Amino acid sequence: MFLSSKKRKSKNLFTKIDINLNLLIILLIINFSVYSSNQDNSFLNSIKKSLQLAPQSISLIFEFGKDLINDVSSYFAFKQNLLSENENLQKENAELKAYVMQMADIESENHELNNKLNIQKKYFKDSLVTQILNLNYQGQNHHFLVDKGKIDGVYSGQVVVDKSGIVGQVIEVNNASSVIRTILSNQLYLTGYIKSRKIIYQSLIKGDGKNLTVDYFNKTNKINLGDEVFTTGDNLNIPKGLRIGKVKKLLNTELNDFYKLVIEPSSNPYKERFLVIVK
Amino acid sequence: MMIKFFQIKLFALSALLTLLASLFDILYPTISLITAFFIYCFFVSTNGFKYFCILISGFLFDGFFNFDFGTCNLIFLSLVLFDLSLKKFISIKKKLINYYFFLLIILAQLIFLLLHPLSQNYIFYFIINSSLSFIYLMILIRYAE
Repeated sequence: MFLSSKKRKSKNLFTKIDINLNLLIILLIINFSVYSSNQDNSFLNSIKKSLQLAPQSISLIFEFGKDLINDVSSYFAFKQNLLSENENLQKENAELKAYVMQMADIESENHELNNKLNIQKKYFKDSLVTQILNLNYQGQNHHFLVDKGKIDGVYSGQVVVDKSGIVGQVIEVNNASSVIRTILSNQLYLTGYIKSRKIIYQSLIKGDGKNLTVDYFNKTNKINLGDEVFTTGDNLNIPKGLRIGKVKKLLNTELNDFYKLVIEPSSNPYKERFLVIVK
Repeated sequence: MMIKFFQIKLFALSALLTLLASLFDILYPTISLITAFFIYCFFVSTNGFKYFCILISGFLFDGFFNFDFGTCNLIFLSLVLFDLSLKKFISIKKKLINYYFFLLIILAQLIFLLLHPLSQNYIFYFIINSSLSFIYLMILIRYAE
């Protein structure tokens, strides 16, 4: 044993320090009162806080280091996650944009079809809604292909309208498609009337590529710019009263008694995707 | 003066070792080393450690390790009281001196458990801390001076 050394052998058991028993008891009482007093009071608490050499402090250092490593690694992992997530989100965003565009396209198509259906319901019960397939068909200006043909009951000579008025005429019919010639084509002639304040003036209208024209219009007929032009409907296939356009210009001709009228067509097939073939 | 420094050094050593030992959850809160320090200073050493210095050490120890103030000193004063009362009534043979220290340590641990009752593992805690305290006391007796 440790205490079996010579040094310890010379010593007595019990302490030799003289202690006053009264003092000891007083100290014990004081200590006990301190111990049993409220240790949370501000005075003792402040002393404790200033003294505290909490053993947790070392473990806190370890924990701090551990937390730091964890934080750093999680930061990088988080960054990596964020990057990949960002990439995924960008992809998703691109897909959604494409989808939205598609939806917008479908929405406008739907809107357009609704218009055409309204036209059909209101004005032409026996008519077909058709989709324009190919503008500038086979290199011909003011001709285009639509997706309805013989099997749908389309025949040559039918007129095609949009919500604003007459667009053109069916000139060729295939099984599942037809060729439309627009009113802007200089090969299409229409008989129409200009309605100027309750007075009607008949005239022959043809296209000139950009607008419609009436080559010779008597100057004695009083018309104004902006007067509307409608179809006379004297043809079996062309109904009466379809809007053609408005008088845009009155031009002098080589013949003094005649104007050349420039009519702005009310329809524009180049802004449409769907048209109505009137039966 | 030298004695004071020696006592301060010993106290600092005990506090430091307690700090390290307290890192292990099972040993926290531990008063094993400070108990051994008290016993060494008051019962073993012949260098005449100051009675009040020991009380101050106990007070500081309470502060350092977040015990309620008075815990260590209550243990210490109880040991002194126990020693005084024992001295008046019985005499112990020199051969039994180690057992006497062991008795003091056990008493200290018991008082501590009385002041800080543990809900579980108290037997394990008691054995571990008593052993630690005894080993530290033996090391102090052997090497401190």
